[in-house]
Amino acid sequence: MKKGLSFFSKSTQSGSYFTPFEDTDVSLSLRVSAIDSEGVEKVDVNDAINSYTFASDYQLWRQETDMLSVNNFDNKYFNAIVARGEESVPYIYEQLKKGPTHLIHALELIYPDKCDYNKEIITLKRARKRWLRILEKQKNI
Amino acid sequence: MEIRVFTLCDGAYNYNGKLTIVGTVDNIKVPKIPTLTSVGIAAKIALSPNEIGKKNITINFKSSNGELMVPEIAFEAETKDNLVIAGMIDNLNIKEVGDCVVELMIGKTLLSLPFKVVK
Repeated sequence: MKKGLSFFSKSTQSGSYFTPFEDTDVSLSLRVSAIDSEGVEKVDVNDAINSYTFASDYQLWRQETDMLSVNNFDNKYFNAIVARGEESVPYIYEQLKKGPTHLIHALELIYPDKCDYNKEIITLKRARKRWLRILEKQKNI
Repeated sequence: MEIRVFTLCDGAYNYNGKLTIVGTVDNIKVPKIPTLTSVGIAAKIALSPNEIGKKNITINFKSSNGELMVPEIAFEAETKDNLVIAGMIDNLNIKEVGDCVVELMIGKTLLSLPFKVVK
């Protein structure tokens, strides 16, 4: 995963808009330090960044495509979820636990070998159950 | 808890506990509504000895109707005398102009920073 600040990428006027993440695949850059007289300690915020990035991509994907009846996977936010591969899986699993979601199609792309059903005819509800079973067998959840 | 720095900005960078802030802002100007934009956030908070320790920290951007503009940013930190936060948020989801707020919650202490979205 490419990370890092690139906030000088475009000049801005006061309070205006700009795109500091053009060359990154995360939508949050965060660095936190705890400081005392003995030194500076970096706070681990990787989980916060991954969780935020997934939630942001998922929210924007739904915002852009929920009104569409078909082909709602040709979308940069959906592609970003898929591109992060297994990093996205714990967050997809959390969404699956809440109920049926089109995120199963991200799982089909992340784990093409584990998709053991006919994508054309299975219902979202049944596919969700299958994926929950598959993911719960995996240790990384 | 004492706020030493708490601002929105064009760029925020935390280099080994030292904050670099580029272009502080209290208005976010957008060309159209709805839109996605980016913003930086910088904070330096001094904690008193009885406030030091493990803390849950959250950052929320709320629009004028109280809706979250981006998902909550949440993490845990073992705090010391000072806490330095530098973040760049992409995809700030702006659906309307108006008075908004950034809420930084450190443990049970809520710090609020109002800002405006203008067109």
